[in-house]
Amino acid sequence: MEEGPAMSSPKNSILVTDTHSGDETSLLDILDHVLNAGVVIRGSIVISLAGVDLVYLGLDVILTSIETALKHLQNDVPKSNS
Amino acid sequence: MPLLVYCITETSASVEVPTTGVNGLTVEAVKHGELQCFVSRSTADISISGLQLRNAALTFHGVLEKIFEQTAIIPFRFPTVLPREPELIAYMAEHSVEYRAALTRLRDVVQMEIKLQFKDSRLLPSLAEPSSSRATDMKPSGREYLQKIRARQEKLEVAAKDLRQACLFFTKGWRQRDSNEGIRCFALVERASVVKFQTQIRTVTLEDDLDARLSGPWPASQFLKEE
Repeated sequence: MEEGPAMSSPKNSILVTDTHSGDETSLLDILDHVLNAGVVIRGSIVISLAGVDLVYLGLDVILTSIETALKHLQNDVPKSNS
Repeated sequence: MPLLVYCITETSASVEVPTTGVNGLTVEAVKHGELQCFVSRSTADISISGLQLRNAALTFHGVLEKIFEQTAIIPFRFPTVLPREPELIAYMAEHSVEYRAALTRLRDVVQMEIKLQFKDSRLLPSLAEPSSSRATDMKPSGREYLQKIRARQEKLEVAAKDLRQACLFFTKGWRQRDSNEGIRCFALVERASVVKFQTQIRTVTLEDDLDARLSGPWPASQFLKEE
């Protein structure tokens, strides 16, 4: 696959972001895709939040929890490269 | 034994996978007919703590990306964990025809995504913002407010249409949907044409108050189902 260039827009044209750059924007793009794109099937997972295991909740419920958790985690994303 | 599932590919695709995946677990293929699903098995319940969540998600993405560089994939959302292999086999059997068709159709294409929005990042104009035709101490009427919303939406749609038109030659498909911030456009592009697509899309000049950002290539998850 061709590697896309990372470039900024000269005037008000489209900004092309490189998902390999490691900056905050590309990081959020990746997290957005990992959490919101793709096939959803019903399953189960154990997730620990604040030291408490939430065991065998339905995946649909868990996904909501993770999205909420990510909103908090995104506040901790470094402004420079991660 | 619980399985964290990453993605599905055709078995005919010879794929080199990363040695380890989420939580340092080995990545392996579970095959069924002409499909294979990449998974990580764990002897214990797969547990991801809040603090590890971001890193686990990025590792998950790394596995997908490595495989996606080599072939078309149908990704699962992170985290999808199935309790046992028979459940996965049953799932693959149930979706075998649909997924084989999708992987064949999407074999040589990727998805590029454009997030189109207003620079002020507000789809809905502020109610407190007075229109130029009214006294500054008056709030716009409900009608004015709705007209503003409609005008902004129409502006976004025109810009999306311009973008689509500009790169028509390089796209195999186009889908778009409204989001809280604006419009998200998804273009289906041949792997070999990604750079040409990026170059072409940058020739489009947007209205001053609009902002658009292109990312990708991504797996063509918005095009799994044919229209």
